[in-house]
Amino acid sequence: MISLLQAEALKLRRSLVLLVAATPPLMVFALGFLVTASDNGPDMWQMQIMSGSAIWGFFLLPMSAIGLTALQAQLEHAPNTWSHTLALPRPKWQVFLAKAIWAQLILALVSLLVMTAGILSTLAGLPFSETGRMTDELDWGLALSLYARMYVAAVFVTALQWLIATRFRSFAVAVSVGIGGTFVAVAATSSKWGLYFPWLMPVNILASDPERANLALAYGLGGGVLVYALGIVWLARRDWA
Amino acid sequence: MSTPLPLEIDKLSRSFGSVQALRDVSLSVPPGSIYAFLGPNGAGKTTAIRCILGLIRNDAGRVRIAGHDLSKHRTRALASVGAVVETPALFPNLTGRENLALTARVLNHDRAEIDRVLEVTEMREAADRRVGQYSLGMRQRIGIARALLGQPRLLILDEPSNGLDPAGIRDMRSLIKALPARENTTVFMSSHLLSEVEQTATHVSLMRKGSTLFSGSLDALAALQPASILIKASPRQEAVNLLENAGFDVAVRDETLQLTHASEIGPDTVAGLNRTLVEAGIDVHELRLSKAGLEEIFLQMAHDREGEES
Repeated sequence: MISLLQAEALKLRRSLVLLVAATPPLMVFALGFLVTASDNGPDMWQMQIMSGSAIWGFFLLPMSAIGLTALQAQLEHAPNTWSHTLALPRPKWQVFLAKAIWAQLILALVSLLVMTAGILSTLAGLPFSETGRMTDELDWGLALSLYARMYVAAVFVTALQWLIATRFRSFAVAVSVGIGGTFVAVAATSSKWGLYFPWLMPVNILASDPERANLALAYGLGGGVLVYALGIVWLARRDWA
Repeated sequence: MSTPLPLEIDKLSRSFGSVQALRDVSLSVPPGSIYAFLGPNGAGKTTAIRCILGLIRNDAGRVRIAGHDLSKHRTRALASVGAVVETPALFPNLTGRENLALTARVLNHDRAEIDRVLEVTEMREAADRRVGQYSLGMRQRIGIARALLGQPRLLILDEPSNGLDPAGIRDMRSLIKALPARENTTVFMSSHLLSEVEQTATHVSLMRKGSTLFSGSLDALAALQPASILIKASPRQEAVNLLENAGFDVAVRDETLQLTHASEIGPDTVAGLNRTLVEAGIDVHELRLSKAGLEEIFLQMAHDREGEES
């Protein structure tokens, strides 16, 4: 299994996956810097972290999951390397599991970078602002907790997008489902059913009702593990013509 | 106990909806052979190869690789196989060496093994260029290099000459011919280029519409088709009379007399005929032994099968 994980890591070298993974943190840094430097940002770290994570959980995190899983799957679909990868003397389920683990690892790394970029952009922008400082102390624990919980709640949507992207050769299928899911999520934000909608689970971590946030966490993780497990079994058993 | 064959297929069948892609395909690949799996496009060659590699399931039948039943012991069976399916599927963002490295990593081979297969396929100098910059011939070679990692007992090549220019086809032929001795392997390759395979293979299986028309050695296949002698002589009618009296069946095509005989025709028959014709005062302008090529044999067998089916 370790050798499969190492092989999957090598496939990412010079790939679009890494370029796209770098985009959200760079965007967040640029935007955060400009907002802070122009005195349009909050003057409290707690507010800054909450608003930054809201953008991430509501929009950027699902979009990153859509793009990264689609590009990861295209590494095999585009050159049609499945016929080689799945003909190696390794259980097929292990091949797919290695891919799923990397999908989650990349998203974890992007989450960490986005969180760090949000904070660093504020620190970099403060000297250029009129006030020059925040009114409270930076709470790394709060930031880590929020982003980590959002990441866990996003396992469901990541698993769904990964499964669709891996199953279907066309990039358009996964991206269309993803865009459709994100669009419905915007409309369903305030609905009580929104809690059960995978694309909305990350942002539900910010719900004022702690029970709703905990349910989003449980559904996100449970649903994600279930989709990965069933999906890997299905992918391993189906024909790869 | 005898060594198991590199590949045995027994009554392999597979349908896609109402289309029967493979119908009771059986063959045995002897060790050290170059076994060509021949047939026109759509004959079922790639489907069979995908079944052999476990990429698609067969509806019926059995595949055994090095004695291991593929359906029961897939990883053990595939451990002795290296394969290039259709166009060599490589990661274009990686160099040739990196493409080999990731397979070597999965198969637990070291760097020396990568250098060895690059040497065999003469790809060492181009190994550190990105695959996206390779010509088709180079991609084929690096695909074969990857398939050779770990010296597999069975090397499966799907249409290895497809898309190559004449020089590339010649180079690929030389490489494939050298592999059984050099790598101690058996080559199982599919092709629709019958004339090309004739120069490379030791054994063939002829496929048509998902069924095998023939499986065995090239010699056994040739023995099924009687040789004939082609003669250009004058005066022609005198030559015809003389040859018919000698017991030959003579067919006249354009200026050429085509002779078949109940008994086997060989080089001695040719020499004897020449002597007989010359002694009878007939001028011999051309005289040669003709054996049917793979293409003719295939077409004849396909024609016969169609006759049986109708």
